[in-house]
Amino acid sequence: MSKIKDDLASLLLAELLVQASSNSVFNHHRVAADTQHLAEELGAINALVIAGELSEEQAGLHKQLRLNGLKIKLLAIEGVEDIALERVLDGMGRVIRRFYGN
Amino acid sequence: MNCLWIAKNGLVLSILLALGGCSLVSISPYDSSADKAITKLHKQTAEFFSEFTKADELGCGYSHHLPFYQNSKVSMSSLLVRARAMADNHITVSQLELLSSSYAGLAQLHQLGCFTPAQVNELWTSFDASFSAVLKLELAKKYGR
Repeated sequence: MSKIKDDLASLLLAELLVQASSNSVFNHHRVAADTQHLAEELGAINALVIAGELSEEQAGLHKQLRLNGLKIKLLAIEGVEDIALERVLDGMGRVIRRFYGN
Repeated sequence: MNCLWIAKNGLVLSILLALGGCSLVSISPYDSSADKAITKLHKQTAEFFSEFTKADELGCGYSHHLPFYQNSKVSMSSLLVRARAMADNHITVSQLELLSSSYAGLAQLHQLGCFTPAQVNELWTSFDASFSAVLKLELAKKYGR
């Protein structure tokens, strides 16, 4: 019994590693880079306001557009991760079905 | 002992098969019409921004670009109606709502005055990145990553 459990666990782990390596499951570094880029852009917009090249109202709209852009990117990352997770679960389900001969 | 073993492992097996058979994570399928409409809107937006490189001071005002703002508003509305009608599509809907808000912000910004070449460049970069992100998710639905 213990041997069967170990075999199944090994197969599941192998499938998990295959799926994780072929899909972008971990994207935290990308999120940090995009957030850092937004901070720099907001700083540049503030500098333009100080230099008198943009009004406060224009700056507010520019900032809103940049913020929307980042949110759209983060949503894409979330969606792609959901799809990757769906594939991991499907892959593990296939392993289990194969293991039990279903 | 035998009954207990069957009960315990049967339960585990049922849970695992359920997990494998129906996904916990659910996302809408790929929509080729949305893909085409987003790509078309991206092209129209690229053309809008490229016009500023050749527009003189008289042609750079908001009123000269009214057809673009009207067309993009209609396109966004159609995209949103279709996206909202699909099940498990809340992420794409949120993306399109934000993109629609960006078009409204762009129009407001334009009404305050003509864009400088630097602004055109930065605004286009922002819109281009947003379109890439929306298409990235749509294509991930098709290709799985």
